[in-house]
Amino acid sequence: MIGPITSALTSSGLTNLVQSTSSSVATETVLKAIGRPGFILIDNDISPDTKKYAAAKEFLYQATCLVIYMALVVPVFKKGAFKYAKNHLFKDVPDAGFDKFKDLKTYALYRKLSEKTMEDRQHILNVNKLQDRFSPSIRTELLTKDDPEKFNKIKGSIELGSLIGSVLGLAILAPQVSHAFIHPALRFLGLEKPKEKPHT
Amino acid sequence: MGFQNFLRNVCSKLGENNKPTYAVVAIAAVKGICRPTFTMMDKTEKPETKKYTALREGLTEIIAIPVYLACGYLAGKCSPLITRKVTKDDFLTNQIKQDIANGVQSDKVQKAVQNAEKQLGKYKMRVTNNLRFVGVCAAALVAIPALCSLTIKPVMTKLLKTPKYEEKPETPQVQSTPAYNNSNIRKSFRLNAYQSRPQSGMKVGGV
Repeated sequence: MIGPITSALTSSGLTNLVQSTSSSVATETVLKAIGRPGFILIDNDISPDTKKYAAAKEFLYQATCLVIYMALVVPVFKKGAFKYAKNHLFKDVPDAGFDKFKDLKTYALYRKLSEKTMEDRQHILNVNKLQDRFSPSIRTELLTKDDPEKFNKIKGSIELGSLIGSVLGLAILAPQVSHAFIHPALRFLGLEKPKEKPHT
Repeated sequence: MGFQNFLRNVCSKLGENNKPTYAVVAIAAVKGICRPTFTMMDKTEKPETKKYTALREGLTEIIAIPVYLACGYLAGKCSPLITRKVTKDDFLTNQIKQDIANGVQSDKVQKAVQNAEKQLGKYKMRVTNNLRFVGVCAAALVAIPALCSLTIKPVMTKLLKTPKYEEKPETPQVQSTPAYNNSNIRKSFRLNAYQSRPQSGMKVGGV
């Protein structure tokens, strides 16, 4: 018997989120932006001013990470990985299925539709007139097969790109950008003293 | 060619099953190497401050990696508890169930049963992966900040061999200590003295 907890745990929304590196990393960053400042604020060993300062700094850091990640890393690395895999990595591997998809968007739409039941797919394709977006072989795959081919190599290439982007963005780029942004922001919020000019 | 094949294998593996721990562990590992390195390369900070900050950043990530792995693994292990009542019958239509009850052994029934078994396997894998993600989120939200709060301060004190600081009630400052009188230096020494800015015990930020 499938209970409510199992049904929530296997919902397609959660599954897609888990299987997508970018969505899961973004979710974790949001949780860090809540959890870490929260833990600083409940720490009784530090003074209220320090708590406020550290919590605000941590929140701003995680928010900067999220903005950088969503604005730069996700589109650049995902698209870049798709292009690189299509033109170089899997160029001589027709089984990978890259030649069946024009771009990343088309594959993402295909993948989303392939998760649905055949009746739903047929309905969505006909109602939204999406059939033109796919090549004939892909259209057949979606309209006639119970379990359409997933093209896991394409999915894996995109995820690898996201993974590399996440590492570079969150471990290298975000700390540098946040360093330039956080202190002025804290000064603006009145949590940090303005820089004193050196005496000459 | 070797590296290309390696990349192809990685892509295939990630496409089949992208475990939620992969990304967080990769990020934590690179952060654990790069952040202390950047800190040590900073020429504007004092050597003591650099050493302290780099060590704390490294320790945070060293704690984070096993916690992510353990939370993901343990949460995934709860999957059989949740899916124990789910059977292949849940993936069969009423018609097929009736056929089976009546003892019908047609190709259609066999195919439906095989399909249901496949779906059950996929379903269990889905639950395991999603639970792993919940575990990783719990690690990011609660377990890692809590563990860092508990462990970093004592470990840092031990590694840097600094005397334990005891909070004293604030007293109004009457006179600053003369520069030549250094008899009070040990008393007023505190871990935070390494910091140029106010900090909490747990290093969580990137700057």
